Amino acid sequence: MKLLRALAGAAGVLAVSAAAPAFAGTSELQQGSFNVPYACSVSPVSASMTAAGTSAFGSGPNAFSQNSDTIYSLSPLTFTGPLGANNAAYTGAVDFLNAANNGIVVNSSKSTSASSSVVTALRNETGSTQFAFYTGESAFRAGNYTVASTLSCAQAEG
Amino acid sequence: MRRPAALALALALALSGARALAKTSALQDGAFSVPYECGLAPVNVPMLVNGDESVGIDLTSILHNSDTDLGIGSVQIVSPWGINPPELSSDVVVTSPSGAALLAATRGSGNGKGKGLANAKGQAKRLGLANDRATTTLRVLTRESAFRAGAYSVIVNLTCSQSPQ
Repeated sequence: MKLLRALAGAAGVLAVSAAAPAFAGTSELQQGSFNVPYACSVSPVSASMTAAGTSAFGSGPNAFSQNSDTIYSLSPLTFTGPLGANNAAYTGAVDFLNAANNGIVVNSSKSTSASSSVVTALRNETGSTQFAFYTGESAFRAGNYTVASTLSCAQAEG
Repeated sequence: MRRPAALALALALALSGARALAKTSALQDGAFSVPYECGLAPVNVPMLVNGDESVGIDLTSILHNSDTDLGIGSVQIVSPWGINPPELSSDVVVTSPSGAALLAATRGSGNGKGKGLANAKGQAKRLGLANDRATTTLRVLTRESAFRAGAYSVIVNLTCSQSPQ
């Protein structure tokens, strides 16, 4: 029995000495962490335009958001009309503007994309997309016309 | 049990929000439609009398924004003794700037055969978008040896309409 008590006592000492370091500090860092991935969004816009003379204009609201520095781009414009798709007589522009009506990116090319400068910070606002369509002829021929471009957003590098 | 359920709901909402934000490109398009239009300038030309014939020539402007058919709807002669009297007849010819005849019509004289309007050339097609010019020649003839005193006019209803596609 004496031997057993002696062993039990030794075990208790060992247990106390082993647990003691966990309670040794008076303050410890408590930490949680999470990660927010980059995200951006732009809205599809389908605007009704009004023709007068050799020009036609229209615009529509565009709700967009971003949670980090972002580059916006507009793909090459495509035109349709009675003279055929992308006829040389057709020119125009698609202009993406922020809520303060300041231009973010504009494209007037049928062959190349246009990109914005870096749009900074967190944004969630309603801007607009404006459209212009011009004919090189003396007037618009009777028929249906469209001008289109794809607006994209992506995280700015660096 | 409430806390795990709330967490699951929050996660589901977060995931659905992430999907909504995932749209990073969108089509921007503007569209409009231009209706067919044509326009003809009115002609009011003084006609010169020479014996039993009176002739007036003037330019007509023809605006159209698509393929267009021209036509002569009616020819009416007004004279001191009435409208379209048998003593008078009229020829109307519309020609292009190059001189090619586009339209011709005759208001016949007499009470029997030949009276009334005849479209000798039918309709003339003008293509595409243009501001065409045409020459309208109006001619009035009397069956008598000379025109009687009084006021005469010939009224031509020139028409334009979209060509069938």
